[in-house]
Amino acid sequence: MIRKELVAASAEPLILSLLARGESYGYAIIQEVKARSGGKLQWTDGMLYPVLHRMERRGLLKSRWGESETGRKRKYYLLKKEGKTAMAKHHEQWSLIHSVLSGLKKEHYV
Amino acid sequence: MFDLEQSIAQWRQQMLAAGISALALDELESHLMEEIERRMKSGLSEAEAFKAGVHEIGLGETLTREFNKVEANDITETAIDSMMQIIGWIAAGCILLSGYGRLEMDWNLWGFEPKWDLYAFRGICEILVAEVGIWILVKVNRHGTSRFVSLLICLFLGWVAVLNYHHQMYPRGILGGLREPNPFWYRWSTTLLLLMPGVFWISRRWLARRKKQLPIAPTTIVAERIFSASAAFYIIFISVSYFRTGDGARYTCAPPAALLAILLTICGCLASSRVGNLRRAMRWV
Repeated sequence: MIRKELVAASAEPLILSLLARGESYGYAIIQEVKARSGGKLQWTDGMLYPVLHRMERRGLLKSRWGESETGRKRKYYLLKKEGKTAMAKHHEQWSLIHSVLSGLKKEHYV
Repeated sequence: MFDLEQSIAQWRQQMLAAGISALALDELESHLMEEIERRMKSGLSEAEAFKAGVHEIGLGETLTREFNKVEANDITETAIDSMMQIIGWIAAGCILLSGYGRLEMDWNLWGFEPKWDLYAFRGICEILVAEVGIWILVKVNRHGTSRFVSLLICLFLGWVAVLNYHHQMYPRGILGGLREPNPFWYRWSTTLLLLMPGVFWISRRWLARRKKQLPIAPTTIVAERIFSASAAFYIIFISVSYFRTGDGARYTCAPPAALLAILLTICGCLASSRVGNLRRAMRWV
């Protein structure tokens, strides 16, 4: 299981990256993260919605109420320009961490 | 017989009682419905799917705590932003009035000698300008494109300071009013007043850290930076004021010392912005 701190730290970049592909809603975001991580990264609703609201208030996202295919009310989130900038920054930072870790791992096995 | 609508209505009531806002609850309800639908497709009954969905969403108290963390930060952030905007507008107004005052204004409302009320007004203009400058400076490291603006503000503040501390430089025009003795020189209370909010913020941050319950709001960190930069600014200027000698030198101060103060202030601001550390800012002093 992935550590709680890492799950929390990765929430924002993952949400931004998912929304960069198009608008989505809370439930779908949770399901997609779960599927992509093979069930190892499980977000709770208690964690996701406050994060989404905070990101919206910080101007990274915007939301709109729409309807699902079955006519049910659903809140969709979209990425704003500021969100794209934040995403680029996150990608840069996470890539750096990844490359450092990979480099160290390689050295360990050489 | 299980009634889904009634169960959802009851669940909503429980959530509202736990403190979840109606708006957030609409979204959570939508989520719950998706979850119920999915579970029913996988073979569960309506009642089982509802129970599992509610369990998945979690307790109202837990959710409220999470939402409160976010909202508490936002309220502080909004308050600080509003405050800074107000200060910005007041500063802009004061600059104009101050310039105008240089030409027209020569009042002495309470009969202080020297005309402290007039000087205090003009001094406050400077303080506000400095505060706005520092505020924007703090923003610098967050928004790379603002660097140039902050540099201009620093130059402006430096220029104002030089005008104030060098008797031979006689300013003209709209900024003329800024060249007056200011409250730094004989009103320590102004400095204390400015330091108090900083003490408040530092204490708040320290308490939050100690309790380990609430995260430290980013605005608290920004406020700490403003405080540390302001503290550096005022401490330097008060120290510099000791260079003056005699009554005739009230308007005079050593320009190199003033310039040094400006440089140190800029360095202090940058250092505190970068690491958010009061001690680091003070080290520059």
